[in-house]
Amino acid sequence: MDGGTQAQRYVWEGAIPLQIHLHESEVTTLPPPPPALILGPRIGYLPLLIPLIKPHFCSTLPPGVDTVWFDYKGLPLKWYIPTGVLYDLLCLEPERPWNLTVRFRGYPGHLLSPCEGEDSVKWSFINSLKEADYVINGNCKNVMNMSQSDQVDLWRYVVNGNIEGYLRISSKLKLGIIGEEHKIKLTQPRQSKVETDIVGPSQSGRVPVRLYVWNIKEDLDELEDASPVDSWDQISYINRPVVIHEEEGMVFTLHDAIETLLPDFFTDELTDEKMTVIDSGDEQRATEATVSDCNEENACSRKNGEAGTTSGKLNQFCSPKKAEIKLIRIQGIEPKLEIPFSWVVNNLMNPEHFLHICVVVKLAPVQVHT
Amino acid sequence: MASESPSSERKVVIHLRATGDAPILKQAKFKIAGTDKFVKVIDFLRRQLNRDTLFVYVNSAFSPNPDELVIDLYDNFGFDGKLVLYCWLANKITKGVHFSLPLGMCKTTMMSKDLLKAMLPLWKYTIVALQA
Repeated sequence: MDGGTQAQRYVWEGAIPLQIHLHESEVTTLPPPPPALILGPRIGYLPLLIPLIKPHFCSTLPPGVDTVWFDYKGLPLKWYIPTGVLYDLLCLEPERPWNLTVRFRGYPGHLLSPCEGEDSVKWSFINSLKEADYVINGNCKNVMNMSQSDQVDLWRYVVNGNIEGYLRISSKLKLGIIGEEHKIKLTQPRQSKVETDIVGPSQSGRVPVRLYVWNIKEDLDELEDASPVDSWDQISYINRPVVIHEEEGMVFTLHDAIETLLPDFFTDELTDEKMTVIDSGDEQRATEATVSDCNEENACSRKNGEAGTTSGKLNQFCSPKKAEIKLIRIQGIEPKLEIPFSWVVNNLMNPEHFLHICVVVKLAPVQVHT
Repeated sequence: MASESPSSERKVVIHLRATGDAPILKQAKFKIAGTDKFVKVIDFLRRQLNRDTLFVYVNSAFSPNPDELVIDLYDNFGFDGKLVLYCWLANKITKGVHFSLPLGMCKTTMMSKDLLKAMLPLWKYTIVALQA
């Protein structure tokens, strides 16, 4: 059996069907080359696809030096954001295949940081890994002390989507976040042994999170009608670790995590410190959470919310006067907010140990300052 | 973000440290708005040091993504009311002084020794300029 949980394997095997067009300004032949069709791994990065795409277009390119970049509906794509995250963030209505434009000339250096192919991506990846180590352990000795061959292998496993090899090396980094006790409840007996190998003992409980918040100003009935992002200024990029507060019988849920990250979008009666309670029968069995003396009103609204859509459910958590969270997407999933955050982290994080969360927020017409 | 809490409007004190024989900036401390991105810090240092290639590390540990907000870096990695940055010049790294060479850099350094040699006089010039 392969390493990792089933969800981890889904994430690692996940790929986005890409239809890549050469920008018309770079077409020098008739007829123009057909678009390239390629699967972009979710955990991968766009520049890693260049060696596969380039042969397809190289015969038609105008003379000059290649500086490859991608754009989606006029927005230059940031190469250091994982492909899956770009897709989740920029395609509210998932487009398959995802139509991207590739450009080999005219790198927009004022908008994107320079990228020299795989080396730049690898450098960015290792730095993110170190940053995650710093968030979790307060230093990055674990990553710094990796042997050169381990570093090389780790990167190759990420590039090739080899989860087994990746887990073997990353387990040495002691970046496990979630405690044993909780994990055993969540995993099937068959898998728990595997997971014990890959997740270290509970440490600080600090989870490295990269949060992308797209602020939509338009008043829309359907989120899909939102006009596409045309500038990165529309997206707030927030790096804020989430500290998992676990108390006896209480589960720190995704809802609690989002609330810690974006306290302004939640009503005043829900404070940062408050634990939430899982009151659905299924989830209760799954996590063995005990219902305790939580605010009755909260529990009630949660129950009602479960029947509704995601956005309807979210609305109930948000203050009507302030901005409103319309969508939360992680690894292509719009997860239920009642899911234990530890499960989300252990299963849906990217290989550099960051959990990337895409959030769409509708700003209220009039800002209320309190 | 318009609805962000006032904390993000805070100013952050950046403390710049020289490593080894790297040049010491006349102004080792400066303030920057928390809402600014890290790339602004890099650009500032580039201008100060008159260099195109520059590696800026937080706490001598990792080089953050240029998009990260200064306030996030301060909240996560700052201490004693400041964010400590270490600035390395490319040719410093050829001397192999530091232990945490990023992967990509090792390779670049190996491949462009001639380039780095050519850059060395420029670097000396920078030090002189700073000491003056």
